[in-house]
Amino acid sequence: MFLKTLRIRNFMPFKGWHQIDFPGSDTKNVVIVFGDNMRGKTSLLNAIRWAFYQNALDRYGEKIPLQKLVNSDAAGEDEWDLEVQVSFEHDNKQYEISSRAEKRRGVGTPNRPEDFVVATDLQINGEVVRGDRVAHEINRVVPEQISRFFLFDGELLQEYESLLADDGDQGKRIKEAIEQALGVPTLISGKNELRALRKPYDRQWQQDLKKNQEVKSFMEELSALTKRSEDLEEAKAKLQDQLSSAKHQYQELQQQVNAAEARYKQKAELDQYVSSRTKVSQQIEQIELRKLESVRDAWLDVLRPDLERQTRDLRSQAAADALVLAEIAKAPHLREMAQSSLDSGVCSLCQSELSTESRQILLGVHGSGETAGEIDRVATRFAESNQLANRLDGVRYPQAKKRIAELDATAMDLSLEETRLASEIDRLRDELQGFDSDETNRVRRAAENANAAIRTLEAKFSQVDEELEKINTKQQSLRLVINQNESAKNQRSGKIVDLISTAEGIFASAVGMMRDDLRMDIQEKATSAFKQLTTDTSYKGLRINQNYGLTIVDEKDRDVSLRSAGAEQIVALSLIDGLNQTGRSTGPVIMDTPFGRLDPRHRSRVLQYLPKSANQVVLFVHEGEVDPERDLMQINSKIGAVFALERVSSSQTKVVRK
Amino acid sequence: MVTRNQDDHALSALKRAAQKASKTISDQLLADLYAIQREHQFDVDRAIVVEKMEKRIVAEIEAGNAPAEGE
Repeated sequence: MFLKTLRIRNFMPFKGWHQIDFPGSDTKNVVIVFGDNMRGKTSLLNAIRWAFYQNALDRYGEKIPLQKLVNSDAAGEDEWDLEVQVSFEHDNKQYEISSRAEKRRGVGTPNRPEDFVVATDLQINGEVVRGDRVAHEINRVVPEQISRFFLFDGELLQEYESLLADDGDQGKRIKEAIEQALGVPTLISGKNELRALRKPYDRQWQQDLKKNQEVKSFMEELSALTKRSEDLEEAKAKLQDQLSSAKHQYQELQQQVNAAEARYKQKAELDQYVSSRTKVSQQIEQIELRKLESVRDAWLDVLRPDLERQTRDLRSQAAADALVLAEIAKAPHLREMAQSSLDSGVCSLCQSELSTESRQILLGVHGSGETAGEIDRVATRFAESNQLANRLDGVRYPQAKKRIAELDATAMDLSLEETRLASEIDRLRDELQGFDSDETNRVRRAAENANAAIRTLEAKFSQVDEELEKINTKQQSLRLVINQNESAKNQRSGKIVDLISTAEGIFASAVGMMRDDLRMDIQEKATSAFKQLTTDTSYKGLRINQNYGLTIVDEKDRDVSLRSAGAEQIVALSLIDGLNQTGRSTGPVIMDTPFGRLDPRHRSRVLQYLPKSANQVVLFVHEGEVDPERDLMQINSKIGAVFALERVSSSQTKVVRK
Repeated sequence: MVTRNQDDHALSALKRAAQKASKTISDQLLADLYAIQREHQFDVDRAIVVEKMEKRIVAEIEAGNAPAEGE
């Protein structure tokens, strides 16, 4: 099988038509779809599952009701219909599947799956497949039982850990799913149906031999065993009914428990939102206070041009005064020289006799000592100008306008966040309306009781089954003895019973043999995958248990009991690969968020291994688990296409080819 | 994606179980009975499966092929 196209309309966050074309190259067989959380990666996986099996699963593995699959915006426009089309090639034939759901006529707002009409069309090489054969044809190519191994959610990989426990419901369910996928029930139902077929012939044979005295006592014993066997079969059927009903009840209760657990998570989420909103409100209040502070000092900004001009004037005045004061500082020396020249009548500088004009000038210089009051005035003004200019320079202008604009922008962001939180709080409060933790505890206890009842019924069922097997063995021995009698041997009914009984025994033994073979096959294939995926070369491989759980084995053949979350994921991926290789010949592997718990080295190994493990690999990932540049470089030659799931709105996503 | 590996495992197990059985029946009969099961493995109505198996077993007896004593 090779996927060619996926087209979806109004399916979960995908409003209108969206399409993914899978490149048809055998060498470039990896398709990567990037999408952040909540963008619809799991929805795409569900779209494929829904197209094949009209089944979409939530994080708990529970079926999502049809009305919740319709895009909420489309539903808001009363467009209550969705469609998924998948085209693929298988055994050189072209398959086109189209699954649709639309609101039933006369229904207003659908609130349950029954409010929809669902239809699936299938064409093979352009020929329409008859309606009642569609599911059969799809299951023939992609059996639903196998889907969990090729259409899987990486976040659920840890459930395979439960296979390591000897008992436990989850492990048991997965074991059953594994055996179904691997075809064990085919042999089991062969055995059961041969037994059902034998009964009327057994009765006929006993009737035919009633008059044969030689085998009379054996026949009586056989009849008694047959009677006991029939009683036990009746009891078994009743137990089966009780078991089915108990399982159904448990499933319903478990769904309620899961829903309650989801609501507990919502409750924690609500508390978180309320606390965040309080913090945001406090931040907004603080911003308002800071805005008021900025407004309080805003007058300084108004005066700033005048004050700056005044500062500049003061600095100019001070500079001019400084020049005057510097000149005055030279004055005492000049006065001394003038006095000396006047006293001697000879110039102190050039030693020439003083003329009348020179004597007059020198008398003027000498007389400048009379302006001392003016000097003090200049010096005082210089000091004051400087002091005032310095003070004005020291003024810190609040830049209130800019500051208030910044605070307003922050307040706007916070206000939007507050609105978002308020709307989330309202939504969660609405959803949590009527949530009663006492009721939840009651449901949880009821689920535990139902589970205990199932275990009791299963134990009784096993006892009855065991007794039936013993009776069956005794009957076979008796038949062998009876068949020693020529007359009995030649009875037609006897021959048929003998043949059915032999075939039944062979089918019964083959079940155990097939299980052992499969386990060994899975162990070998999973080990091969594990050795390519693990970064620890000292590990010898994996060992499988009766439940198909895998344990890491070290170089000394000892079980490694402790393993990290990353190692668990590697083991689970190895198991999935082993099951895929064992359970089917070839086909795509479609994984949602498979690298969540892996470190970069393991991630790199998984990325390099996946293209070799399947003929087509489709990965739905977020950029936190696979780096679009660094990680994809390693498998660049294998990548056929890269898509991104881009946000249109909180309820809509679009698919974009990169 | 037909699970050919599954068929290989099942048929191989049937063959080995037949070799160990106290009485032997033909490989062809076993293969046919398995094929009936395989064809209808996803069918809910099992009556048709039992009927097909019955026809095949009766035909085997009519052809004179009763189980032979094992070794």
